[in-house]
Amino acid sequence: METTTEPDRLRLDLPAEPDSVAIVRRELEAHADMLGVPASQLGDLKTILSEACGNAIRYAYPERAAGPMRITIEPDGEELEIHVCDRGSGLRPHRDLTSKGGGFGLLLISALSKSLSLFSEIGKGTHLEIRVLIQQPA
Amino acid sequence: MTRVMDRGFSIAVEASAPGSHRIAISGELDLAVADRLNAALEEIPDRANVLIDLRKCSFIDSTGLASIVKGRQRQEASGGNLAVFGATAQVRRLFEVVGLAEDGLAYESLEEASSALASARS
Repeated sequence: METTTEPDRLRLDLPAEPDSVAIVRRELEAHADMLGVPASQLGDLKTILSEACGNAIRYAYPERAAGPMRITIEPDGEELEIHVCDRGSGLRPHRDLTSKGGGFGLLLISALSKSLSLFSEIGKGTHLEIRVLIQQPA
Repeated sequence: MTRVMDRGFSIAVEASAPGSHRIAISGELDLAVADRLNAALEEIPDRANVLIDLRKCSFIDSTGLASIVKGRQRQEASGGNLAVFGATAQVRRLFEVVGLAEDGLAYESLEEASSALASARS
């Protein structure tokens, strides 16, 4: 695993495999202050990141060993910008997100975030961009 | 009691009374370990009532949630039932977001969950 922290930015490079998701949650928790994430919002962000990484783990590299997955988290004004990218096979939404019971994770992300954008190209990979409004202290 | 442990995650299954099983989950229930819960639930006899103790479960993702929902469906189909109790903050929030907070699956305490399952059976 490679963790890179720049001012106000966390970048994680991990294999797209199930054990990586717990590492992502640990790193988010460890850098929550730096990212401006209040403790009350950590649970939602752990859910969002787990579901986003889960999609890469389930669908990106179906026919070979786990390839790379990059997670970037950075504040942008009152929002947190999250990117989860892989270099896998790319999503074919009808086949991948309906045949394996998938797609629910994306619905969950949508419910917990301000916006979710999915960019995917067959043979080149998938990029999820998620924006979350950071809760301000009362 | 059967106990399976992995990376701080554990599942303890106990036959707590005739026709009743209790499953205690500790740690984070996600896609890396959800199969362990599936396996534990598949070992539960038909018609049994199952109580899942989530007091030490710090996180659940959609894969873990699906395991619980499938386990509940299986027990109900066999004449039993399944409920969870003691959900921590992230887990309660997940139940709320997916609409499971009010459908008789989740309870605050062991007593409430036991009572609900006993009422459903009688």
